[in-house]
Amino acid sequence: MLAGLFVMLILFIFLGMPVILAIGAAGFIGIVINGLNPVFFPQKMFTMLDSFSLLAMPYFILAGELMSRGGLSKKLVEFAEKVVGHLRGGLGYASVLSNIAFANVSGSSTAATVAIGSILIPAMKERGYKPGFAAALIATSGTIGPIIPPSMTMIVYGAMAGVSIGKLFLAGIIPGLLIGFGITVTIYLISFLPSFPELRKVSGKFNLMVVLKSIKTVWVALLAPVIILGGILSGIFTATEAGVVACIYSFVVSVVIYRTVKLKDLPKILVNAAITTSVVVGIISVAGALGWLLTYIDFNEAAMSLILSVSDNPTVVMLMLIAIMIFLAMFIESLAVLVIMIPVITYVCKTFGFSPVHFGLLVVFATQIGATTPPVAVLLFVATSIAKTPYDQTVRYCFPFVATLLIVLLVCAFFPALTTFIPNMFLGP
Amino acid sequence: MVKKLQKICSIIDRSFEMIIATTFLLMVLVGGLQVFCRYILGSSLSWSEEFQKYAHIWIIFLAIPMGYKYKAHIGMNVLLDKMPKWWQKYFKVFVDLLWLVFGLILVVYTAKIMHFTRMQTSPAMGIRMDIIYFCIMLGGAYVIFLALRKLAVQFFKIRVQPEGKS
Repeated sequence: MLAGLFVMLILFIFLGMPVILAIGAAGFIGIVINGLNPVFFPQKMFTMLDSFSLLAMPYFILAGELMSRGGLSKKLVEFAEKVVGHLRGGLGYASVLSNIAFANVSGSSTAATVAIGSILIPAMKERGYKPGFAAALIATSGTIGPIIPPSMTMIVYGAMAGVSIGKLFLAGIIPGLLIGFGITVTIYLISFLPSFPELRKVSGKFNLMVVLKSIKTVWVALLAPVIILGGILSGIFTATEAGVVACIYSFVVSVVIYRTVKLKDLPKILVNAAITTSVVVGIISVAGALGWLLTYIDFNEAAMSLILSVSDNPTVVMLMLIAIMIFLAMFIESLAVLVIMIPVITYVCKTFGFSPVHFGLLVVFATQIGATTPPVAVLLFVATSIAKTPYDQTVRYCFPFVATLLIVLLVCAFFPALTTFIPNMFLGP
Repeated sequence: MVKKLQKICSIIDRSFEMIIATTFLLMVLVGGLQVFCRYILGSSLSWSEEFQKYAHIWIIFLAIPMGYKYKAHIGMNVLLDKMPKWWQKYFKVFVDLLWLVFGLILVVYTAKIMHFTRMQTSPAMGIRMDIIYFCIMLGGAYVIFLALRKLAVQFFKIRVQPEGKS
């Protein structure tokens, strides 16, 4: 019965049904089949959302919506180009750098890929980069967004697994920078290959004055992490309160200082941010009903004994779960994989005594890798359509980058201090 | 006739958008007030967390139908795009029917929840819980309304002026 439910769920999502309906249907049908009162369905949907930490979601989405009006992403990319554009493979580095900067504003990898890709991919093609290579590069550096705080995916994980979102945010700082570093090294190495002469072309010169001048246009985005992370690091704010402060900050900046947003646009911005929030939180809500059902019918223990039948070595179990997450996310929408798997992951974490913060980061990272790995890779699709190139061209060039991400993931998995050092130091273990 | 109906529809849509925008704005303001009171005045408000939580739930359940209207909900169209046209057409109708059922489930079972929570009040603000649960019913009703609209458009081949995401 349970297996049938899962097959139905995966099949529904794969056939193209909205994820919220597929998970909702699986939850509702499961509740009815098990002879439970259907009233539990809306009730558990409500209970899932009845959480103060989940409020970080609408706040950070609204802050991002306010800030990205008025072409902030374009200014960030221009800034990054001025800093590293003159180097070997400079536009590639610019992609990494602007993703790190943009990650402070937006928490979604798709949003980052669209915003940065639509500016950098045409620029790369102009300089002779292969379109497929440009698309693969932009898509993989888009994964930095959900790792560096604030991150919508981390909020999803924190709210569903009951882990401190502030700690998860802080845990992502070093791994996010490591991804950037890894991709930079990969581009540097590729630039020596004979078939990539365009990466060796050097143009322009570094000009400190120009860089300092362009800081004037991007300081808003560069200051945002100081306020958000500073507040969380010093223990003054919870993640939710940091979100409120980010909203107020971006409101003041975009309405009063830059005047890119007019007061009469505000209702539209609020409704748009509400819709974006409801798309993610709606899935969390129905996943709450499904998760409650799975706990009720002891699914987690069944999954656990299945895992234990393979191995009871904590390291093997950890690697196995990560591999399962990547594999599932290679075929299904990564958010759906995350919300379906979180109850099991939390249960395994508790049984084996894994640090929920460390494991949470690995899991979020794994779903992002799945989202850039063919066959079904949302980020590659987005970047490919911007690059206007056949999908197989992007696939051809994506493997060195995916391999880089995997290496960074494994490094983070085996050195937990990379993730837990900052949160433990500032917020206590 | 069709024009009149469309006008009524757009009035309903606008009112939902207004409720969402107003609630969201209030939520941010209360959130700001909470931060201000705690860190500047040094005394916390007792009701602000609960207000934001319930305002958020209202926003979500009213914005889920909005996302359905503007086709914002996440779904995979890799396989769907490769299917023949007739399959895509029927699948679309099937999905609209599912939304209809989803809305019905929300309305019917939330009505039951509201019935047995009408005597309860929220811990901090003392609001009747059935008022807070009402948003699920309202959102469900709006989903039904939108699904019927989409199905009617499909069924009667009504020409509707395309609307962009506002």
